[in-house]
Amino acid sequence: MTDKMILLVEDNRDDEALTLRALRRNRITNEVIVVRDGAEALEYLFGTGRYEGRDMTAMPELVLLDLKLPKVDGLEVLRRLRADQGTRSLPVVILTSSTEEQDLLKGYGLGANSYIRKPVDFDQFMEAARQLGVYWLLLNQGPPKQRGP
Amino acid sequence: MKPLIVSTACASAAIALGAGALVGWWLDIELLKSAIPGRVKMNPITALALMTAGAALLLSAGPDRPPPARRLAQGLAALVVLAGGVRLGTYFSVWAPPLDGLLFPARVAAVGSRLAPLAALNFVLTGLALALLRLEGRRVHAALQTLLLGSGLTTLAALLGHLYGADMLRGPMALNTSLAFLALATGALFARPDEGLVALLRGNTPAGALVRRLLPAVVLIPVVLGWLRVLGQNAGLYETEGGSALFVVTTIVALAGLTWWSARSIERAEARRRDAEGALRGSEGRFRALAASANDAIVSADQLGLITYFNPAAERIFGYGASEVESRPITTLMPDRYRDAHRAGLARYLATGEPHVIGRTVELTGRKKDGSEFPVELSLASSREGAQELFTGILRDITDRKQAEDTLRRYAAQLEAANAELDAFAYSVSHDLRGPLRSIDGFSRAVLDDCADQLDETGRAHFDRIRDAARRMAGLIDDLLDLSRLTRAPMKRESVSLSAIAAAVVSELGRSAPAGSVEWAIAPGLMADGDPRLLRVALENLLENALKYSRGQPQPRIEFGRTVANGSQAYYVRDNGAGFDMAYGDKLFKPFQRLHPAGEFEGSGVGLATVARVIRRHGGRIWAEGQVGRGATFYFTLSPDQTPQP
Repeated sequence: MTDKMILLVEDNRDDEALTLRALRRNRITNEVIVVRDGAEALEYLFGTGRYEGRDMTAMPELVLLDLKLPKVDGLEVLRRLRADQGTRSLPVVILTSSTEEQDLLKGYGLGANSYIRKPVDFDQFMEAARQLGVYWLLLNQGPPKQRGP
Repeated sequence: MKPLIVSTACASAAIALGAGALVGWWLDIELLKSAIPGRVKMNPITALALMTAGAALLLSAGPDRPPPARRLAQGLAALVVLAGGVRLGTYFSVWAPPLDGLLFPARVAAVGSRLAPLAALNFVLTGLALALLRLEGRRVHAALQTLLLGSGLTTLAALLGHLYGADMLRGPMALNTSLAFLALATGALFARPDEGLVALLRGNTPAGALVRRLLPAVVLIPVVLGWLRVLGQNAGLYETEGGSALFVVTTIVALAGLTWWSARSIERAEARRRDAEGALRGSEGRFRALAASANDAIVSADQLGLITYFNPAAERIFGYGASEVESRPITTLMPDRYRDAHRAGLARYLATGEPHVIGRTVELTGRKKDGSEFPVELSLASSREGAQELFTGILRDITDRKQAEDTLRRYAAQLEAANAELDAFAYSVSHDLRGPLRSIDGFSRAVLDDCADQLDETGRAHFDRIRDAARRMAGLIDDLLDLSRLTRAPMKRESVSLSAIAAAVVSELGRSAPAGSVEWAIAPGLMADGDPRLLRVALENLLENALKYSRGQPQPRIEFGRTVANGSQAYYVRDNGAGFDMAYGDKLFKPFQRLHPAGEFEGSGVGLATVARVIRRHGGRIWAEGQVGRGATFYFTLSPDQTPQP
C-alpha cells in the first residue's frame, strides 16, 4: 500500500505530529502529505497556487480533514471538493475535536465519508488510526482512478 | 290608560245609551227610555242626536284619522249643533217645528216627552266642541276647554238633581241623557290628551299628582254632603237654615282636612326631593374628592369636545391650570396631528352611538402646555346629563412604564446576545481546550514509549498521572458541554412514557453491569408531558446514579415510581445504596459538587446538575431525601402546578 498517499489537512503541529506518530506506530507507511490550512489543501488538490504544475496524476487515496482551519475552514474545503467533478468521489474523513451536532450534520450533508472525533486518550487515538488505515487503505475499494482536473 | 281607548269607550257609551233609548221607545221598555222607570225619559230626537255626536267623536278621536273621516265628523257635529240650536230657538219662541214628536209621535205625546232645554244647550256646546276637535291653535284650544267644561258642569247639575230627588218630570234632562253627555265631554277631552285638564291629569309632575288626588275629592265631597243634607232635611232632622249651616260646616271641615292632607303630602315630597338633592350633592362631593386626590388625570368634556372638568392631577401632568383649559377644546391636550382623527371619531360616535374608545383602555400621545409630548394610557367613559352626552377620561402618564418596557426589551436582546456568545464559547471550549489535552496525553505516551529505558518506575508513574489528569479533564469538558447543550437545545412537549424510557435505560445499564445482581422495580404506565430526549437524559443520570451508589450493597434494589411527596404528585428514583447526609443536600444539584471522594465513586458531579436542569426546563422541581448508608430517594415533578412548596 505504499503507492497510496494520504493528505492530512491539519493546522495544529502537535496534532500533526501525534497523527503521524499514530499512523507510523500502526505501521501505516504510506506517504502523508501535510497541508496547514484550507486554502493550501485546495491548492494542492486542484494543482493551483503553491502547487501549480504538480503532478496531478498523483491524487491522495484519503483526505484527513480538520474542521477548524485558518483561511478556508474544513467544511468549505469539503464543499469545494464535492462541487468539482475531479474530486467529487475522493474519500474524505473528517478528523476533528468537535462533536457539535451541527458540525456532524453539515459534514455528512456536504458528503463526508466518515466523521471521527479525535480522542484525548492517545491509546484510543492509536486505535482509531489503526482502524482508519485498515479500513480506508486496505479494505475499502476506492473509486476508479481518474485523471486530475 | 291610553287616551284613545278612553275616547273610544266614551263615544261608544253615548251611542249605546242613545240607541238603547230608541229601542226603548220602539218596544216601549221604560228602563231603556229613562234609566230609572218613572223618571223623565230621553226624547227620541235627543237619542238620535247623542248617537250622531258619538259617531262624530269616534270618527275624529285618534291621531291618524284620514281627512274624509274628519270631514264627515265635522258634518255630523254640525247636525248636532243644528238640532240643539233649533230646539233652543223654540224655547225663545222664535220658531216651533214639531221636533220633539218627530219619532214615535203617539208615545212621545202620551208622556209629553221633549228635548230638554239643558240638553239642547249641551248639544250646541258639545257639537261645537266636536266640530273644533281636530283644529289647531291657541284660541281653538281655549274654546274647546270652555265648551267641554261648560257642558260637563251643566250635566253635573242635572245629575245632582237626579241624585237629590228633585222633581224632574219637566226637569233639565233624563238621567241616561246626562250620563251620555258626561261621556261625550270626557271622550272629547281625552281626544286631545296633551292639553288642558287631561294633560294636567296625565302629567308625571307633582302638579298632576295633586290634581289627580284633589279633583275627585273636591267634586265628590260637596256632592255627598249635599246629598246627606237633603236626606236629613227630608227626614225632618232640620230645617233649610239648619241644613245649610250643617252643610257649610261639614264642607269646611272636609275641605280643610283635605287641604291639610295635601300640605302634608307636599311636605313629604319636598323632604324626599331635599334628600335626593343631598344625596346627589354627596355623590358629587365624593366624585370631586376622589377626582381631586387621584394620581391620574381626570378630564371631562361635553359633546362639543369642550373641557368641563380638569382635576389637580391633570393640572400637574399637562401643566395647564383648570381655569386655563375649561371650556377649551379637548384637542388642546393632544398633538396637532391627532386632532382631525379625534374630531372625526367624536362626530362618528355622536352620529352612530358606536363606541371605539369608550369602555376600553388605549395608549395615546398627550401634549403638555410646554408642547412636549408623552405617552398616556386613556380609559374613557360616557354618561348622560339630560340631553347632553358627557365624556370623562382617566389619563395616566406612562412614560416610566414605556421606559421600563424599553429597558426590558434591551435586556432581553442583551440576554439573547449573551446566550449566543455562550454558544460560541461552548463551541470554542469543545474544540480548543481539547487540543492541548491531546498533546499532553499523546506526548506523555510518546515519552513513555520512546524514552522507556531512561525512565525508572517513579518517572513512569508520574507520566501515568499526567495522562490520567488529562483524560479526567477531557471528561469534565465533555460533561460541561453536555450540560450546556441541554440548556440550549429547543424543547418539545409531547406525551412520553417514563416507564418505557426507564425500562430501556435499565436494559442498557444491565448490559454493562453484572446481570441479576440488582433488583429493578419500574412502575408500569407512568406518562408525562415533556421532551422525550431530555427526559431520557434525566432518567439515565438518575438510574445510573442509583446503580453507582448501590454498588456496595449486597442486595441492591432500585425503584422508579410515582407517589405523593410534599403534597404534590412526584416521580421518584429510590435506591438502598450509600445514601448521603441531608446537611449537604443543597449541593447535590450543583455542577461539579460531589459528596463522595472521587476514589470511592467515579464521576464528575455533573450528572445531577444535568437532571436538575432538565427538570427545571420542564417547569418542575427536584429534591432528594437520604441518609448515610440507608439509600437515597430523588423526587421530581414535571410541571409548575405540582409545586406547592418553595
